[in-house]
Amino acid sequence: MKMSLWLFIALNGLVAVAFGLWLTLVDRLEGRR
Amino acid sequence: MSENKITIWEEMTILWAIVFIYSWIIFFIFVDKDRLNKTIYGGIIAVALGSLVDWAGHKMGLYLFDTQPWLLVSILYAGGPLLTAGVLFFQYISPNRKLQAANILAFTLSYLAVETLLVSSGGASYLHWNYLASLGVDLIVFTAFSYIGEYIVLEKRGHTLR
Repeated sequence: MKMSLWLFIALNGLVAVAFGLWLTLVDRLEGRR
Repeated sequence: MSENKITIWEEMTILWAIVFIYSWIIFFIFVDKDRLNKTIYGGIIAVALGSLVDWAGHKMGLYLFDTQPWLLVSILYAGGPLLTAGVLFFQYISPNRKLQAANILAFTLSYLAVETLLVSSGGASYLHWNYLASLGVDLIVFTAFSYIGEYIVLEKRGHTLR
């Protein structure tokens, strides 16, 4: 069955948050922020 | 078709528009505007290479973007995740080898996750394709990008032969 639109938005949001956390971690490790 | 119901065409386009919007939100939060003069090349190369690969993928019947006008999806895809992730990838290239390997993995997994969601929700279909093929392509592309990016962003110089 096809995924619902709201689930798609929510899961994409989770991916975006996880990706953002990774970039934040890299910034910290590299001493940028 | 009832008036309140979103048509398939609109829904499919919405899926790509959502990915486009998320891409730009991440971009505006993390972009370093002062380095854009160099990192923009990551975006340009990503748009060119990504569009070429997807064009070939369609032509060969490997996968397709369902029921949508090719041009609109191309604009949303190329101008969204390809452009923004290309720039951010160049911006986040690290001279630390282990950190860069982790970067490649993080970008690859994010791309693969979004692709999986698009396929699961009907935004794209695999005909003669598999997630593992995408995983391989993503890893190769981001590894190649690391190499090119080191020359453009970190201004690494190759060894000169005498």
